[in-house]
Amino acid sequence: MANVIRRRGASPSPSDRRNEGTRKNSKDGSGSGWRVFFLTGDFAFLVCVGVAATVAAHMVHALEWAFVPTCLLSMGAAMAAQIVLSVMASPILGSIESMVPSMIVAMASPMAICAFHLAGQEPSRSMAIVVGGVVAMGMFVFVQIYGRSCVSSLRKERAKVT
Amino acid sequence: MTTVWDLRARFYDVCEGSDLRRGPSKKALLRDMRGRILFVGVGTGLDILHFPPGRTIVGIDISEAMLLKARHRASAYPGRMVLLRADAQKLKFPDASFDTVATSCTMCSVPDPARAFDEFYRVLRPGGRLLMFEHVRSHNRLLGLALDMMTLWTRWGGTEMNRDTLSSVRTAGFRITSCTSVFLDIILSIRATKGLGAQGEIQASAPAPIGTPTPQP
Repeated sequence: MANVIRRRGASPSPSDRRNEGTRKNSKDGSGSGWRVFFLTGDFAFLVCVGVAATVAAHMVHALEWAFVPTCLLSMGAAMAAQIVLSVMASPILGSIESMVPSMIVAMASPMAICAFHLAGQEPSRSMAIVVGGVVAMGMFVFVQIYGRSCVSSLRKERAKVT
Repeated sequence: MTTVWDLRARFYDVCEGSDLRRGPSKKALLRDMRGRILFVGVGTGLDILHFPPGRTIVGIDISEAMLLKARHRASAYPGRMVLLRADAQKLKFPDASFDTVATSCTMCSVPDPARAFDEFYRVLRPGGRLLMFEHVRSHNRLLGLALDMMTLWTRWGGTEMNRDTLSSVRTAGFRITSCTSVFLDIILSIRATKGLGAQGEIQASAPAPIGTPTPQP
């Protein structure tokens, strides 16, 4: 976490106070509508990526090639699906905000499909969709928790040194 | 590098039009721009919409194609704004000529960020402010790995997603006064100041310059 430094004994500057006030206002006021919009958008987008990535991986596994090339190709297909969806979502949800979590989803969900195949299981398409959805939901929850911890730890660090 | 950004100028507004989400945080940060302002990496001028009115701003970018797009936004800015083609690593401004240096998603794209920060330090007056809206590498292993992987291909487009910009800011001699999360620990709103004493360290006995608004010209 970023190590925020403030000179010991220095009180928050007027501009810092003003900005904190604005943040609170935007959260409590008109910002709350946008917050719900982005939460819903992030969730729907991650689920879309998870489902698309697992279905792509599932389709590659259906070719019944050797395991290693199938896994590599399924990962590639999942990544391609993720990049296309991220580029489409980025003007609304933000480029980094959509690209980074969805990349992890697109890495993890095909791996789950590969793991099923490695264990001798042949997941159906609907099962693949469920796996993709679950991985995406897991990522969504992680982003929310980690996001809150980032905000609070930065605030705590600032409070500690002021 | 210039060619890459000239090409990217064509699609920049579509791909980076994520102001819907980042706009309020940018606005809150850039509101602190005071005095003579240098905005580094003005791009197509998307950020001009978040500039507080009535300021005197010099906006620079390495790409002429970007500046061409930025000009109509700059002409609509309610204040004084000059756009120049310049390299952040070799600024042609005299020492201590600005009160504020601001960047927005710029330091991921400067080939040698250390040199650029040295230049920012040089052109800022003592006690001047550095305001940065930047994305950096996450401290989380999983997210950090994703950013490292993304950098494998974004590097070809002139952008590195895994830079430790906060360390570069400190190394250049700036004092970070506040750092706010915009998205996880990846997109940050950073406020730093150039110290009054040697090596950028603010002397304990000096009057508190942090956050003290500079009188408007």
